[in-house]
Amino acid sequence: MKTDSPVRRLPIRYQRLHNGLEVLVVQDHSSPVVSVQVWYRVGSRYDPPGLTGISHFLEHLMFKGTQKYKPEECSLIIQRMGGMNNAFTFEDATVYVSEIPAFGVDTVLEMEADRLRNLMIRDFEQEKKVVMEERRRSVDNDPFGLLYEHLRAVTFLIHPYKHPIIGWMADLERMKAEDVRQHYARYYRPDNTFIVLAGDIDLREAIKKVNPYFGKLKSGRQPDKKPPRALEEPPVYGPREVVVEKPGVTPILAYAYPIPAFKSKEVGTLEVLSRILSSGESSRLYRSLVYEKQMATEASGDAKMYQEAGLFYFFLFPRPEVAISDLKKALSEDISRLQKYPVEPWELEKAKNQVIAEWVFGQDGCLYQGFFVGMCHLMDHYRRAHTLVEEVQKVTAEDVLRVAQTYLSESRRTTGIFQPKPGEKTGEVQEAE
Amino acid sequence: MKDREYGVFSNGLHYALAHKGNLPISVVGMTLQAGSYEDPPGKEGTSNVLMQVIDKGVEGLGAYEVARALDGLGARLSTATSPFSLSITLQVITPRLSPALDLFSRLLRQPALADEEVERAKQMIQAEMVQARQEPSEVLQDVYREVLYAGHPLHRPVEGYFSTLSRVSGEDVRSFHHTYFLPENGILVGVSNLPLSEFHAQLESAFGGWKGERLPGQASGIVRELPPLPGLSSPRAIVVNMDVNQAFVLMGNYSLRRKDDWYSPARVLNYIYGGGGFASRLFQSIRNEKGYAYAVWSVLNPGRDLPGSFSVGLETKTEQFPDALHLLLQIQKEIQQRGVKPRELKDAISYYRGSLARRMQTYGQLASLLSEKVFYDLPDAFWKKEIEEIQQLRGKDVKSAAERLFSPSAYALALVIKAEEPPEISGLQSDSIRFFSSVYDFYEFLQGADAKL
Repeated sequence: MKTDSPVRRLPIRYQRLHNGLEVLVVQDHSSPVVSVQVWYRVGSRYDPPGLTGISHFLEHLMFKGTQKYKPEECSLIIQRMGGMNNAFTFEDATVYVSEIPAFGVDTVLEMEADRLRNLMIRDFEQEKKVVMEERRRSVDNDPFGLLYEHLRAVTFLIHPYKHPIIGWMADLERMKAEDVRQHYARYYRPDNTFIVLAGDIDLREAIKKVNPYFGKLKSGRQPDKKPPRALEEPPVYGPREVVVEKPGVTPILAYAYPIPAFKSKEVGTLEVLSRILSSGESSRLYRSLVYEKQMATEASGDAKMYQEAGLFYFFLFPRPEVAISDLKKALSEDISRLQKYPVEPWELEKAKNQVIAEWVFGQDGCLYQGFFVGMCHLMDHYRRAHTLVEEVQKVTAEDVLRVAQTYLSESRRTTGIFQPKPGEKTGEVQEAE
Repeated sequence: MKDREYGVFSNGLHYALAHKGNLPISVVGMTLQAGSYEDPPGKEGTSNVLMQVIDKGVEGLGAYEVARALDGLGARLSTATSPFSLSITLQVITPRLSPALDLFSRLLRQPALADEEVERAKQMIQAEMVQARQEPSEVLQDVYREVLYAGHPLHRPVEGYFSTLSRVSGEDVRSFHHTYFLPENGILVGVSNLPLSEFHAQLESAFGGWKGERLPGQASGIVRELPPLPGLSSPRAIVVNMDVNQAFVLMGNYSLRRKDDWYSPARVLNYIYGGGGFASRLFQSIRNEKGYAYAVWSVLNPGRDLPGSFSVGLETKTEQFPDALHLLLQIQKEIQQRGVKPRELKDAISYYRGSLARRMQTYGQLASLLSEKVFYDLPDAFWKKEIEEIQQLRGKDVKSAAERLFSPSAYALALVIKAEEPPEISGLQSDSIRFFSSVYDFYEFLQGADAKL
């Protein structure tokens, strides 16, 4: 890497405790703040059949306290120190995050170690209603959320990535407190966990702090129960399509393609391809379909790479007078151009510059530094944090052409369409004046 | 070496700059002291359209070319519209600051504001409006603004209305830009890892020569006549019927100005009452003890030229709404009569002291603080001084703030709920409740009310 490059190597330190718990430290003394992140290697892909959403539900219940702490008491203690805490569940992991003044690290670690072992499942039915309401708002009543859920469910035939993180409503309804207890016992173990400490702390100090609380925990109460094996998707034999009809305002057209997992060497190329095709107002799709052909009002997309597979997708919002079939035709032309001719040098450079800038912006604040390193470690190895940007830098126009030909073929495509049905009159008519 | 600098360029543009050295990042923001309040009558939404299209072309470059240039630099550009200010912010890695700043400056000074882009933006905004009217929490915001500011220009949404937006032309947008995008109306803030002198020189080169493009005979600066806020001496409510499975509630009153001497105790009071999340009384009693609502909170928004607002929000089961409303008013009365508990005050002070470092951790956060300093004419490092002030607060200061901030017998209430007819609300006379049987009827009324102002 050139010395004048804005890309700095993140100072990461690693240590594994005797019970299997891993500790990662990202040192940044620019502000007296530390982000404490506890990463459990259990996300929605570990949800047992019929109990989808259980990892996410457990995340909610983790705030209900232990014998020592009352519900939400830990959050209160963190807040008193001037900090914040939260959590999120995704396909491959559940992460508990705090951001606190450096003096509060011990307190947070003590509380996190306590709830790793001593969680009390409280307010189960009340919290279930909260999760069901969250599902109604973010999926059932949101055209975009609903379409994305269907798109994934059809793109993945057997892999648990087909299930929504929040779970199917019927599964949530039937879930029992005992199911959650078993899930907790099975996956919340030191040897299935790593801690990221990012910010105003160094490794020696961090280990000194983590050890008294986490080092004494024995690994695995049920060592015979290993996480499920990776499920390989069968070959894709042809295009798929899913149509969602529901009251709404604007139709949406989406395309999704299965792509390799984060560990793959294609990550950099897929990232560049996604940026060239559908990221931002200078992307090919935006230029062609929004500016030039004026067939859509919005075009955006992403390449999401998980631990065992990935999804390359983009969404388009057609103009009211444009038929979905015409938009599909125009899209096919843009995609096939990408599969026939190498991208222009300036497009390649633009995509790389975007990645580098986003990487630098992502270091602004200990929270995001921790997320980045944690994500690399979860999906592959923390050292990948040192090489990812370089991988992107090395991508050539030929790489992009090859990847577009390999992964964006018509036969591998899942098409999703949100078709609005008329709903309540809400004042959209112009003659309201 | 000093790490902050404030001043005024010779063209009247105020600036506030800071050095922050840990990453090669530069953030530059421009705030214009004009907003949707200045929208021409009957063309509400003009300023918001302007902010949607300000980056859609500049002399010699079309919308796509600008997007390509910014993306090529890896730069991020964001805009915001409020009743009294318009802002545009650039974030870029410092090695690319110079070309990014050149483009940023041109966009601010000579945006293309082409008719076709204005039309495109209007269509987008109208589509979003239609979508928002399906969302109870979005509708609630408009209902609350209407009940709180009934009869005052502040009642209107910054994006205007479907019909007024239809009337906004490219010429209106360009005229708004000519009228208000003047250096003497601007506040420039910047945070960078560059040495302050070098950063200053770059910004002065980009903006120091900016003269603005005044309309013939136009005076400099904004002459803004602000009518006083409408009186609120008894409770009043607007209820909108919508097909929702719970009650969406916002209630509140006017609050204070940012420079008022009771801002710090009011801030602490808000934290203890409902702004402090898990720590707040509302959360503990309404959610935890009674289980009336999953979400309950309060927000203190100070104003500059007029008092701001103090608002309480909750989402509750429809049948539990009366009890929840009664309880949150009861808590206000209790605090007014007995003050807050010593432990609550101690915890709030501890929170503010501890959160200071988190609040100024990133480049963007520091830029926001600088902007706040200049916009509200606050002292340098006000963020530290205010924490020192908070640490000196006593229970009586917070009680006194409660007497001024809370008004349990005179408030504005917005309610989005499934109801075929006007509900009875304890403490409100039936003639102080305005009921709309559909979202459509409410928005039709809103536009009509605006036409009369």
